[in-house]
Amino acid sequence: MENVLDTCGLSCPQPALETLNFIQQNGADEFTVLTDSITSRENIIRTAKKQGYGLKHEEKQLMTMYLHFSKNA
Amino acid sequence: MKIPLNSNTAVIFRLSAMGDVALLTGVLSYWNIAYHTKFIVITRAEWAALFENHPAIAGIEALSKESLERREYIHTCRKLAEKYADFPLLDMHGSTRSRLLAHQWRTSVYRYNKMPVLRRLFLWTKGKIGRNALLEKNVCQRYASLLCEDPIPRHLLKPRIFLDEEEKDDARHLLSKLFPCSDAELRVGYDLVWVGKGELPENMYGKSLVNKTSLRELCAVLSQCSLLITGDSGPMHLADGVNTPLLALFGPTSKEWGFFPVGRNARILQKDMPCRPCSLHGKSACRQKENCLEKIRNEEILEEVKKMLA
Repeated sequence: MENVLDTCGLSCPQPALETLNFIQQNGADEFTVLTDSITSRENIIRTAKKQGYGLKHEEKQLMTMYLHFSKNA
Repeated sequence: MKIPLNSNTAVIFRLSAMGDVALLTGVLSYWNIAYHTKFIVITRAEWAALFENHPAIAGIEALSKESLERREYIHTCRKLAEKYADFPLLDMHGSTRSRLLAHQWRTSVYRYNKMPVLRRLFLWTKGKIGRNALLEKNVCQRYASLLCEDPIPRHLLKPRIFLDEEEKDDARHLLSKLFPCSDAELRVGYDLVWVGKGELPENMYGKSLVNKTSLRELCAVLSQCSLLITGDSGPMHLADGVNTPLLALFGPTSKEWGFFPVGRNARILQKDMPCRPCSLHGKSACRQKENCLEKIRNEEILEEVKKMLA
């Protein structure tokens, strides 16, 4: 679970900034972000995109969205 | 947002010093993500490179030394006020120069609270007044509170320098030239490289890149290092901005000034002395027999380095 970031419960813009921290510290080609907010989801996707990561696919389980990012997506 | 900017773009003014400018980079990321605002930064030409590749930046006005000289500066202000007539100005400097520009600005001007009186009161009363208020927010949080209501967690405002892969590759190449692999078996300690500007005393252990790198090259070199050992300096914030672990030695300045690094991999070495902090910027001449930085023993530094690199 090294490349997973859980941002559930955090209020905007914290999830997007934690994603940015995660990308800059981790530098992995693929990673997953968990969020429970639609607004945060948009912000996270936008932030990851600016860093060169695309949304590969996403899943939803109950209230939690699993956003899978990849450098080549 | 605490104040309505009435525009998706705002102009930021901060001329110096390098560390203060670097500290803005994280705040701009925060504001950009929180409010979708983009920024045009007005700064000294030598620090403009810190904002290259930054996703929150819509433009950079790099001011030359000449354009900041007394008479020329009036024209510079006029030109800037005319060019950016539609955008609000966020004065993150609070200096005479920023006030002159604000005077000519055609739309709204907002200035961050630099806490000048409180900082001086704290200094003059040797810490009797203002400690708690100063410790409440570091410099990044003071910057951020211009637009944000709540105090923002410090680590979210950490400096952010955006390097591209080519810059990192060049730095790797540069370091591999300084420390060729063939030497590795012969070495017992750590590879040590000096960075920054100034004069390095002769016969120092390690290799030197002093005065040999541009600002972005320095950031890229830092990004490839395992650790930066530094004083309270601009490169300290750059290392924080590229997520390099750092060991900072604090002496004439202290935590109340708000410049402690906030990265998860930052450690501080300092000694309690009643005379600390001795000045606003750490430039006063020391009257003690053994000054606050000399009190930090080499063995302590080495011990900490070993722990951090373990």
